Amino acid sequence: MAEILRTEKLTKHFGGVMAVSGVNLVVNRGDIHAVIGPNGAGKSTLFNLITNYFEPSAGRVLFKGQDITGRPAHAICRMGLARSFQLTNIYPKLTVFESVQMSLLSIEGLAGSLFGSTGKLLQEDTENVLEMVGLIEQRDLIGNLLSHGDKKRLELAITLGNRPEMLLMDEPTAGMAPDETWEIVDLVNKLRLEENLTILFTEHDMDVVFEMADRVSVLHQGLVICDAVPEEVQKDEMVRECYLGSAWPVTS
Amino acid sequence: MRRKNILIAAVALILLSLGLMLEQFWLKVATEALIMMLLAISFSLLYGHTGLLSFGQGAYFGVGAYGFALAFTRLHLDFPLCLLVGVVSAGLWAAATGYLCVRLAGIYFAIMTVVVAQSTFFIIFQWYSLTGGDNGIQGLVPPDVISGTRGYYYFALAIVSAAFYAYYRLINSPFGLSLRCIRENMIRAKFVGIDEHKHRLKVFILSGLFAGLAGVLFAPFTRSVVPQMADWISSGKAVFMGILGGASYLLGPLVGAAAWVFLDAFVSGFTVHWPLIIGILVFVIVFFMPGGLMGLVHSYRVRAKARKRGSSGLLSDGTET
Repeated sequence: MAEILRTEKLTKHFGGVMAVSGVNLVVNRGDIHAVIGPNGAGKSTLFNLITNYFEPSAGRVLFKGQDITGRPAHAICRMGLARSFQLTNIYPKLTVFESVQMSLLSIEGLAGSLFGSTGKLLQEDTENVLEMVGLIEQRDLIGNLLSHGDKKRLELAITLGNRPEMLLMDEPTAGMAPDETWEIVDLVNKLRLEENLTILFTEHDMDVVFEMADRVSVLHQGLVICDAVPEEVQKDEMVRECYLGSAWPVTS
Repeated sequence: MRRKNILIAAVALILLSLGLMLEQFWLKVATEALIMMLLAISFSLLYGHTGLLSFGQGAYFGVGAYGFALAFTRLHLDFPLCLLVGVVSAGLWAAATGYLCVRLAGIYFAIMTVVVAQSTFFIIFQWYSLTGGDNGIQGLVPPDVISGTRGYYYFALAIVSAAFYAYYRLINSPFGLSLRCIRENMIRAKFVGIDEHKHRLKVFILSGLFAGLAGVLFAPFTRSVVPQMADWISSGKAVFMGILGGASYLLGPLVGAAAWVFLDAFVSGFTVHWPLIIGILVFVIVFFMPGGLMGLVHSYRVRAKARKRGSSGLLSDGTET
């Protein structure tokens, strides 16, 4: 399997605190790859370093073989690496349709265009994305009026509008009701199959992680302490001690 | 859609017939209102659509006016060419100063625009050999056809209508949507591939052009330019007009500028305490109608629509375009 993303000795310290220290991570194309770990392990920071939301203190990020360390966020996005945020990040006063249309316009290189009217531009593509995430009924609602679960879906739709090759999702099901959670899991699985997306995500719900992931990396105090297929991660002594707890069933 | 066309036709008819009906004084007031709409648009593009609070649009208003005046009196160019020189100089000045401003965000951006505007004012004020300092420049008489009050009203109406159409197209373009995304959530916008620096600089220049065009039209209207056109009161006027009308609405700046100029003319007819009235007005708007006059209209329409549907379900809020 070919790799799509690689981090080399990626490091970030905030003052004296080592948030991420020397992380080497390889994500293979087409995989659903989970990053798990206790609170404060550095999961979100790792995501923020990969997408250059924070500048790394040291190390490199390679996406599709190119060094993207320190490239502006918008340029990384245009290369096909999109992300969602832990705290839902949408446009509160734009309609669902506009929010997704923007991503499509952006990736088509039309974000700065002064010509044409947004009313109908890329309407079909936008509706396709909304159809995919199940928000077509709400297309004319403004983002703020959506339920929490639908806001999460909208943010997913916003990232999908960028037609990414790889998607970074920081806790895609955080705060969702159980049935909503499984809808998202199904959706993500479908996306992988239909759109051939590579997905890197963090998650606290271990049922979701072990259901979805092809590969799991465990982060603890800024270090990768385990990187393997889910079955092995569950058996790993150190992981059990640091994170899962000894009560976690060995067989899944 | 058809109702909209009828409305546009009605407004056009009213504006055209005003030129024949109004007496001199009110016709001048109407002309000033038209010109000030452009200054209000300039502020609204930045604040209402992009979320950038500029307290310095007066600078580009002044530069536009002086660009015109200098081309007219020093270079003796044709009138239309002088207009062009004024607008272009405002655009260039906006590009140079905007480059500094858009690197900053929030309150720092606002402060930077004040710094730039005050610097612009002092450059105009002190550069005696070029600008005539506090004497200003006089004798800016437009060509015969439009030198009368009525002629100039129609001239301003034509230019402002064209500029308004450009503004309408601008906020409905993909670029306009990008601006609203930046306003709504800059981080999200960045992470869908929008180069926010580039976009902010572009809108800064465009809004400088609108302010410049206002200045260019104002100079021959009063037959003179003075440094005060670029001072902080001038910038403040742009802010007040924008807020009064509702800066994020298509018609906000037009309504705001018209209300402002007519109120000014009306109130100063019987009291010298016009600034006091302004103070109270601003107070009322900020506290009771943050969406401005168009915000009131909009929320009324949303409520009427909801009542019609027999529910309280809000359909759409935000920008009325």
